[in-house]
Amino acid sequence: MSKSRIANALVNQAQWLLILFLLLAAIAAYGLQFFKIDASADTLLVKNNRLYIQTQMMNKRFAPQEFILVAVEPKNAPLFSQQTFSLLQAMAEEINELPRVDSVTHMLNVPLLSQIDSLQGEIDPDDWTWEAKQYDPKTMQDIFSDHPLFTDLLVNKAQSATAIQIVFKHNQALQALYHQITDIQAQALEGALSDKQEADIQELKAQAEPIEAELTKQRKQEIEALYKIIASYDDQADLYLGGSYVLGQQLIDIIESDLVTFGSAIGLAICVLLLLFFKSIRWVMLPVICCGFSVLYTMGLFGFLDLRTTVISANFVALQLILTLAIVIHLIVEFRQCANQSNEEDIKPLLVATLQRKLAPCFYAGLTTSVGFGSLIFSGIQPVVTFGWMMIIATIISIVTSLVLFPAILTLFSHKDMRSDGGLSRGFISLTRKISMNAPNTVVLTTVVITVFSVVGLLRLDVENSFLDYFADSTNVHKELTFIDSQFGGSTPMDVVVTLPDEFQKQDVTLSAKSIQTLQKIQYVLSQYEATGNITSIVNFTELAKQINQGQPLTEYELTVIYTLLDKSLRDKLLGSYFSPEHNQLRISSRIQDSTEGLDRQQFMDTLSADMKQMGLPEENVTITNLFVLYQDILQRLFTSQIMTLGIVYIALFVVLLFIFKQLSIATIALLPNILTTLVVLGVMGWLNIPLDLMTITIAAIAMGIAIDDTIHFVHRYLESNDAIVTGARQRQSTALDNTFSSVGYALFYTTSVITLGFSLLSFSDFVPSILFGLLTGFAMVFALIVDTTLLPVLLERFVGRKALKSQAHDV
Amino acid sequence: MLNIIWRSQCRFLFSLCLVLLITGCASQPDMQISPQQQSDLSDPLVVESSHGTAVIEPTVVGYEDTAYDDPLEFINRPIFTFNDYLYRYALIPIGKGYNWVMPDAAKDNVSNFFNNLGEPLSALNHALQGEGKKTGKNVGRFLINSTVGLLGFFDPAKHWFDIEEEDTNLDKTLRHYDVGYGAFLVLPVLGQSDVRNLFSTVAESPLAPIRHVTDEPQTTYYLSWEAIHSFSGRAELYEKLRNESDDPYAFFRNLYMQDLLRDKQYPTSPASINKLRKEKKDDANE
Repeated sequence: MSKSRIANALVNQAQWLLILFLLLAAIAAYGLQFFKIDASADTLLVKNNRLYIQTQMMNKRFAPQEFILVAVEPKNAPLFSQQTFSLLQAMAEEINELPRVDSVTHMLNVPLLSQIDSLQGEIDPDDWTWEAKQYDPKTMQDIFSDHPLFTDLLVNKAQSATAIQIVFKHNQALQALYHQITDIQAQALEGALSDKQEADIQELKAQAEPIEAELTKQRKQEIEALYKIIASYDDQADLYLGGSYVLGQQLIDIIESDLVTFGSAIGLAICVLLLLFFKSIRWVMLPVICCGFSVLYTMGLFGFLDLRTTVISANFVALQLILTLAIVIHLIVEFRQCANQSNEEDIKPLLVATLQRKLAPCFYAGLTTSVGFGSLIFSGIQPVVTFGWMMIIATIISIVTSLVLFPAILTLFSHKDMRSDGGLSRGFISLTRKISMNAPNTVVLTTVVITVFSVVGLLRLDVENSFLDYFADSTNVHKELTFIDSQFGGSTPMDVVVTLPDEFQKQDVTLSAKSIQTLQKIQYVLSQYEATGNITSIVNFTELAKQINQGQPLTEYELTVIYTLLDKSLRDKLLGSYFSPEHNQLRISSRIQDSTEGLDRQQFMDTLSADMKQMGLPEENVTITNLFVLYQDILQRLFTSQIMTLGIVYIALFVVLLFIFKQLSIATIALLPNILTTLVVLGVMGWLNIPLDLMTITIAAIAMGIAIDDTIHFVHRYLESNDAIVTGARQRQSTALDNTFSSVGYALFYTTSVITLGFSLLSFSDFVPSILFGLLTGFAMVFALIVDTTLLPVLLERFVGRKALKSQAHDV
Repeated sequence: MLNIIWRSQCRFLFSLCLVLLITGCASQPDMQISPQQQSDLSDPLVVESSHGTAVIEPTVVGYEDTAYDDPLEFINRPIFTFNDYLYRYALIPIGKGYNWVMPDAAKDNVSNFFNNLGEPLSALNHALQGEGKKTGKNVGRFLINSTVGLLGFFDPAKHWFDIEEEDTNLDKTLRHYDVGYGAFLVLPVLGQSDVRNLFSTVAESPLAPIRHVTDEPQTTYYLSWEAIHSFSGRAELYEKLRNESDDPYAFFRNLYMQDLLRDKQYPTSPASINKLRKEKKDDANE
């Protein structure tokens, strides 16, 4: 089918297409309910990731319970005083009422074993609590000074605040499902899983899903309830809520509220800007309708396909808005120019003309954008691959929707719009035109300087993911989480699991001295790192025992006696999460302090791994697991894949550009501004010390996707005009460049202004990744606009235009 | 202080034994002790890491079996087997019955009572060890608890006057003067012991205050009561430990011997604890 036949069909069958698209919208709206956002850590992982499976296995084995911390910093009384004790008791009682709470641990109800004068007979830890013994404040203060277990956990080092640990019950059903999944996945460590096993995992996951959803809802309510409870004690103490579940909930909350607040603010801003530029309601309505429908179709389709939005792909909506707006604005500008140049009163022929001219570049832009995002598929990282697919789908939907709905809706209007373009845009266009025509050398030179600058910045680029830093410094959430993080032993969990080699075992001894000493060494090394917060293992208990034993170390046999002394349930309660006798494994549980100044997480991991090799254990016997390791691993993979992905993008785009423009020189020229844009965005991040994190890692792909659009439209129009001149269809005095500037130039300017200004509102967000996304995307757009209207025309004139003129002269 | 209890119980049991069974027990000449091989499992830990080299004190120590030999195993083992039967079929049921009859609070009072009776001996031994301050404490505690503490059933010295209990015995005095432990012994009824301990128990026995304030047969009753009281506390534990062990003889021997070696290597004294604490603080300050 030729361009004109498609254009005619689109315009003439407008009403049918409109009805079809409304129907599709209804179906998509139905699919919307299946659309899911999945923020859990496992969405970030490669299928059957070794570290993830190991973490799951350890979680199954040691079953650590989920908990939330409430830090209490009394205002009017010392920490160790009757007044504070009463406050704690009252709060704990109220918290205990929450349905899912398993236990509430605080300094008044923990067994203060150091008060036991000897380790003998039956020890009932409940006899040794403040609640049982009513120790006076001074004694309590002594007990909690440098306590091997509780310092950093229940009382901070400065003894200015205490923590209430709220432990939640396991969901038995969910736990059982997870265990089944883990059991199957564990086999992936040995070899590939069979299809049946994969299917079983899917089946189990499907069963777990509704329970998870319910649990998430419950957690949300619990956190709200907790905030309500602590609010009522506001007058007596400063209270802080923390722990990884609170952090997760806060993340979701802030993303949701951002979506509502900023989503509507950006929408409104875009409308106002469109109105300002085009001075007509219809040019506001049309883009908005196209954007709305595109997003609706996409989300509906994702719902049906069960493609889940993760942290990485969360901004697909914003990107789709950008893509759709760009296409519609190009169409509007083209249409208005056609209308201005023609005497035609009827809308339909004008629309056909517009579409004829714009179908090809829109298709090409869509193709290149898809290729840009499609290259993400080769990153090998599941969430990034999914993001790639999502963006390909979104791009195709945006193009089809815009090209269909634009004419379909416009045919409903009777008259054409005759207004011309405003002063501001005209000023910008004439400026860039002048620059590119009169100072080509300056443009090229500046480009070279910027490139060098960017590459240097790029080398400074770092990856660092601090969840605390996701929240702006000024926010309450940041303050609260930082307090808990720095005063109560850190945020992100990291475990070291030691599998005891056979030669460490000793007959009749539960844990040999060699085992404990090895663990003690590892724990000591861990504690030497500035970034490690609380560290707990069996060693802390032996340290406590040593303290009770008047500073004498226990013998391995005494330890066995004490272990035998504890009854089974108490053993599980105290030691179950640190020692698994049947697997001969010991676990050191620690949390990394996210707020540590200048923490280089990768370096931390590298040094730690190196240190672990010196502990006198075979390498495979020490496993470092849990969230910290998982996040670090995924981030590192993303970073390394970034380079490869970018390489693939450049190559793939070059091939596509070659296919579109059929000339090596043009393809190269068209590629350059895009490479430059990605480099500059990453370079600026490097110079500003903005690390790549889970949220900003896709920024290069985004910059590329945005920049390529501008380039395609510009080059396409330039070549078209150039051809027209060469073939003599146009007057020589208006050059190809003039033509391009006065049509596509405006569209580029409008698109960039609308989106940049709209998204710049995100800088008012409290969520740092949103701010960065808004500003960096805006920056990428502005930079792409500048490059596409200065460097691109210079290169085109130099290498394409003149050649054409020459060949024309030759022809004459 | 697990070890102290363990051994002091032996002492009490032995007193009973003396009265009931044995009429005399001459101390044997010190046997040749194999030179104590210090295995690295009891030494301070040297940690090498990216943060440099550090030396930390272990929280749990161990000794190789070769660090203590057991030349009398051929005789110890049969005695151990005999004891085992005795414990399981006689003493443990008695101990359990005693536990069932005695209220917990009363048990504490009884412990206080017997502990108080041990104070004069501790005072004497502390004096022999040159620990004047501790001797004073023992004397003070004995005076206060015997009077204000109603014959020692209560411990006002600790609760009102903050004088902590500090017990010791001849065995420790001998250890203080670097007398070796001789060899590992299993004594009939009493269980794990060693030559030095045996000697000190025998030597101290006539000095037990109870002998000087009561006459037979009351003395025997008191000593029997003391023995049952102390054994009752560990009756169940003994059962548990022996049942979970593949070689109970070796287990109880190693438990005893490792305690002994550890006490020698890491003596408890407030001085050493303070030193430890100070080091810890210094570490923290660094």
